[in-house]
Amino acid sequence: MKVGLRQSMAFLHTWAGLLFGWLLLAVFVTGTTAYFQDEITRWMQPEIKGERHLVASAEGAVDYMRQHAQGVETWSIQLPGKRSVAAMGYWKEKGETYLQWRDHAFMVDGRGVRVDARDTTGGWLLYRLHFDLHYVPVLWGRWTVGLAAMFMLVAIVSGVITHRRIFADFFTLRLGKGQRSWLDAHNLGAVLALPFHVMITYTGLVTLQAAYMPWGIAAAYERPADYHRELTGIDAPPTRSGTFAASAPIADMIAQARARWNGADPGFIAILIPGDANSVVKITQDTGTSMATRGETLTFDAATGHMRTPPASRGGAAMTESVMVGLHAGRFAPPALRWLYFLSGLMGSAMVATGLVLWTAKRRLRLPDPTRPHVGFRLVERLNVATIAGLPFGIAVYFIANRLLPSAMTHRAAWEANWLFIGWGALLLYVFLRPPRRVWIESLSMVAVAYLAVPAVNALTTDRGLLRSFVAGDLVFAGFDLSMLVTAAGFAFAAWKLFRRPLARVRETRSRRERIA
Amino acid sequence: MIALCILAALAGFVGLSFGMTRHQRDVLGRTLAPSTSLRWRIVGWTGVALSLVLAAIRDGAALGTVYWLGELTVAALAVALGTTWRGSRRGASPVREPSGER
Repeated sequence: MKVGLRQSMAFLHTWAGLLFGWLLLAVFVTGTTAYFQDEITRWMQPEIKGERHLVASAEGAVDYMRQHAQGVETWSIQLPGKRSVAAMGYWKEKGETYLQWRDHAFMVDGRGVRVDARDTTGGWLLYRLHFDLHYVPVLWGRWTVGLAAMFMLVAIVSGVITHRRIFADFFTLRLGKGQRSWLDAHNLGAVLALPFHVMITYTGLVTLQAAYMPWGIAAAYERPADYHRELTGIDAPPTRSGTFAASAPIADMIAQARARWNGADPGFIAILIPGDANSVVKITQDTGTSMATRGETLTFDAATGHMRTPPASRGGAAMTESVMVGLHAGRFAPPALRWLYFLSGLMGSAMVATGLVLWTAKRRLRLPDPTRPHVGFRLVERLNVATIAGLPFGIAVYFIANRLLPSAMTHRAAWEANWLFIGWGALLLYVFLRPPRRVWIESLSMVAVAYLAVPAVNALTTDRGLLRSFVAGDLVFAGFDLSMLVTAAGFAFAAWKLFRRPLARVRETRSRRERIA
Repeated sequence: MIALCILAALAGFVGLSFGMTRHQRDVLGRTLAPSTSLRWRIVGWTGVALSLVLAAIRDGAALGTVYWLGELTVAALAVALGTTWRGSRRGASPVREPSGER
């Protein structure tokens, strides 16, 4: 028997979508929040105030490490981008791996003064969740997400073939018609942002192409490290001379870098074997200053402040890759474009969520007995609630934990992350323990309450509540709190809609079945 | 300028939706003659193209295109919601529940 193209594509779309849908939803949701990563981090460190002054914070960080970290291997400074205030400095001692940097990290504000900010991973956690997952080795996470992204590409192509009416019904959303409405919403989320979905999935795979397709590098380079060195322009570390030499002012080197980059800001500074006569300063361009995200790295002799010969400009392939990664991460995006990115990300999340719900909506009417569905149906139904409501709930709990955990707590940042998963896990448990009939309404209401609580807890525990930041014209803090309220309203609206509907639908289904019988 | 781009895209999508039989039925309650539909589609594509030109003038071809795709999403979403709203007000849906129920 021959199966038509559309049917076989529909099968592929349905099952690839279901199998990876829950993971893809998490990837879409956390990825969407990552467009406001810097703003989230700022909200999660309310101790950091004032204006951004890039040079002053760099000088402050160098001064601090000069006093507290002599004789170590590396000083690193993550400079504030246009949307941040503080620089983060950290050092690495001999024998430590780069994973231990958190042990020696500190924040410096725009005055060049060290700020005792609470220990948090901020928006960075959600960004890393997006492609590294959590509690699993980074490589496993990336392989899993990469596999899901491949299936996302499959789902996009097979979806365009399966839902052939998406172009004829381009603007169609019929409300209050059960399965029909879910299908319309799924199609709208997909088709209205289709260029974004294709771009984001494809470039997402490109961001980690070296991990997914290592064989090209393996064929051309003896060691993978050689490839990365050539790509990033970072050569072998300098050797110690043993003689002390004071470093030239960092501000001069920043000025030289800016002059070479037509005024674009540096984003990262690494000072290798600081204090030694052979010490070297590496200054990398900020990833947010151009659509091509991989900025140039310049090398200076620390003792003289003299810039070495800049690296040769990169080839076409490396530039293409850099622009693709830049398009994906959207770091270059000015505020208006950032919101457009965010909206497209929400549409993608909605597309995956409605697709998951559609799977159950389609099958519910065909069940032998809708009041007692089979095990597979119940599992999918509950996993849907546990993901669609559970992850947003966990994120709200993460934000609340940021305000409530004591600031002196050991492993505080790790515990904030744990609370995200405790919140998510608790909702998952709840979903599996409650009778299915009301579980959607109850879960969505809980999410709404959690997001309502975020600005409330913020106002109670800091001096930067919504009202004050609104009066002070603090767009980041007011914007964050308002976004929480809008999110709460969205989930509350969904719960309220469900509260008004389900009885009618069950009745309708039953009477239709009776008619058939 | 961003608002102008979205406005052009909005006009474009309204034109395109008027050129599609499905949406003619939703919004007008009847279908238009093929020649009229064609004219709407021409208006529609012109609007969409104009929004790209405006975006490219504003931000250059590369950044302008990125903006443009996002602006298209906003405009299309607005037209979809508008069409839904018009359709529900017209009561164009064939299997509408009788208003006395519930």
